[in-house]
Amino acid sequence: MVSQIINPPAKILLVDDREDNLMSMESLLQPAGYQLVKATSGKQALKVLLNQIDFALILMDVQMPNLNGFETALLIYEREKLRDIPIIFITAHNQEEAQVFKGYKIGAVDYIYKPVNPDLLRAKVSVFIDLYQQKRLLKLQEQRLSIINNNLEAEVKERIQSEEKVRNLNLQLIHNIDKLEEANKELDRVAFMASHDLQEPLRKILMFNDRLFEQLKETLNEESISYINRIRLTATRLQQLIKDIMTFSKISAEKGEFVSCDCGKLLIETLNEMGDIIKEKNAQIKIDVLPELFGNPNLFRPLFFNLINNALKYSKKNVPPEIKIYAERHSALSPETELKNTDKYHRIFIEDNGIGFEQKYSDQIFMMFKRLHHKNEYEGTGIGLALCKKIIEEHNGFITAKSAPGEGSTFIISIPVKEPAPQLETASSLKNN
Amino acid sequence: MERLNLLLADDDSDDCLFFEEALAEIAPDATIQVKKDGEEVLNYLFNPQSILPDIIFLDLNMPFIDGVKCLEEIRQSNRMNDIFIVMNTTTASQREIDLSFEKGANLFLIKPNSFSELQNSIEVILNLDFKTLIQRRQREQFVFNLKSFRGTFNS
Repeated sequence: MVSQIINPPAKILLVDDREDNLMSMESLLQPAGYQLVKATSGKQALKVLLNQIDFALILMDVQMPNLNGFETALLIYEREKLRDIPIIFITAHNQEEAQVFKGYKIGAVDYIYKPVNPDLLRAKVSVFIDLYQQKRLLKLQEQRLSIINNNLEAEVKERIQSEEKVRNLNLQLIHNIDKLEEANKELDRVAFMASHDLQEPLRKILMFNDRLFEQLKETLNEESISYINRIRLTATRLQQLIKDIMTFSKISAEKGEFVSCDCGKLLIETLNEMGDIIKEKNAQIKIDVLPELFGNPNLFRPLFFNLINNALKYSKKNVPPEIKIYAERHSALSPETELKNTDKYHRIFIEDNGIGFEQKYSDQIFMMFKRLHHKNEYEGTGIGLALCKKIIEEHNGFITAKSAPGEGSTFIISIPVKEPAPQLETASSLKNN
Repeated sequence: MERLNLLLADDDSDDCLFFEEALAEIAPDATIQVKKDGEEVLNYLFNPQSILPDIIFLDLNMPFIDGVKCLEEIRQSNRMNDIFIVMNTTTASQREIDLSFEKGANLFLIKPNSFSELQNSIEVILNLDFKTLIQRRQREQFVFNLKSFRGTFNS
């Protein structure tokens, strides 16, 4: 890697008072590709070094007028930034004189004696330059490492910070979910309590209304009797509304344990309870073989009740209602969900020949208090289908409707298939024996 | 109809009034004790001087000692084993129904919405065969339903 870093040519400062010496050194070193800067006196050398400090080496003649080489060197080394630049002195004197300088020595220093041996000069320069280059590379490397290090540190810091953030968000989320669940439960509780407490005075209004009518019926005129009847009707409607809201609010609370339920049996029980209205409407109800559903029977009953009640309620005038209830095993609601979802669903269809509705309303009808008709046309509180939807959702299923005006409606409920636990089967087979 | 002794426990004076008026029309001979809360009921029943009723109508929600607690106390006394107990409430949860059955009540009556229904209900209940029903308590016939009870038990 080190070798791959392209080195700029090393800079060498040549200091000699004699031009010819400078020229000969230049011609000796030029071929090696060094960048050479020349100074003809110590003073000039110092001047150069004021502006440029990136020299790899200084070659300096010792014998110069005014400032000699050693004096110049001392002045150079007084500057902190220049202390690392090695100096090779070129001197005619013996080594002892050079030892004098050694006392002051700060930077790396070497000597070449006159007459200058060109090979020795080249070799010494090359050694110093190599050292310089290696040092420079090391420094670069160190800088790079320290940058990498800093980056890493920053990255780690950032990661820790974002992890902290994620953790905080998670905590916040969990906290919010808890809060929401609590609020939901609280709402259900309030709805339940309110409904319960609203029922009592309402029942009394009905009772006092009855007593009033009983005592006054001989003296009341037709109009007054109609008012009293309206009081009863209105209070009864309010009562139904409260009852429905209460049923709705109880669904989550009374979800209870899921068991395998005989869907057909539940349906027949529900139909028996609805005997009067079925007779009154002269309705025909056909039930196909229905699967076992995994869920809470106490929730399935109101589900079937509301769907059948709906089919009876929205029947065509003068056409006896025909309701078909049939099932399809092991299929998902739509092709898309079938592709994405390997879960199997029981699908139960409740098909009627009633007035139907426009398909575009098929989502709206499941919303609470959404009605497609005026109150006077069809009775109801606007909760029935919302209740069905909530019940189905408690069972991780879904409910959809297909319809067209005048062509009846089909409500389709899809509930995940779950095989009953083996013990249940044994229990029922024992019972059969 | 033989002369029946009734005990009605309800903290709601309107409901007591309805009940007494209804009873006066269908069974003028019957006697009725009205108690305002569970404590009054228990004080009366556990006083050896008191004449024990044939049938008790216990409201579920009463101050101090509620209906279920009252029921429990009564059922722990051998002396009161053959009192027919009807639990009474405006709106019932499945839990309350289950609990009442478990603690030994004989019937669960959801307060009717009309006076005539109340009258008819009381009439049907007073004509039930208490002895048989006390011996054979059935979960399926625990919650009172005017239509089915009238057919099955009216004498």
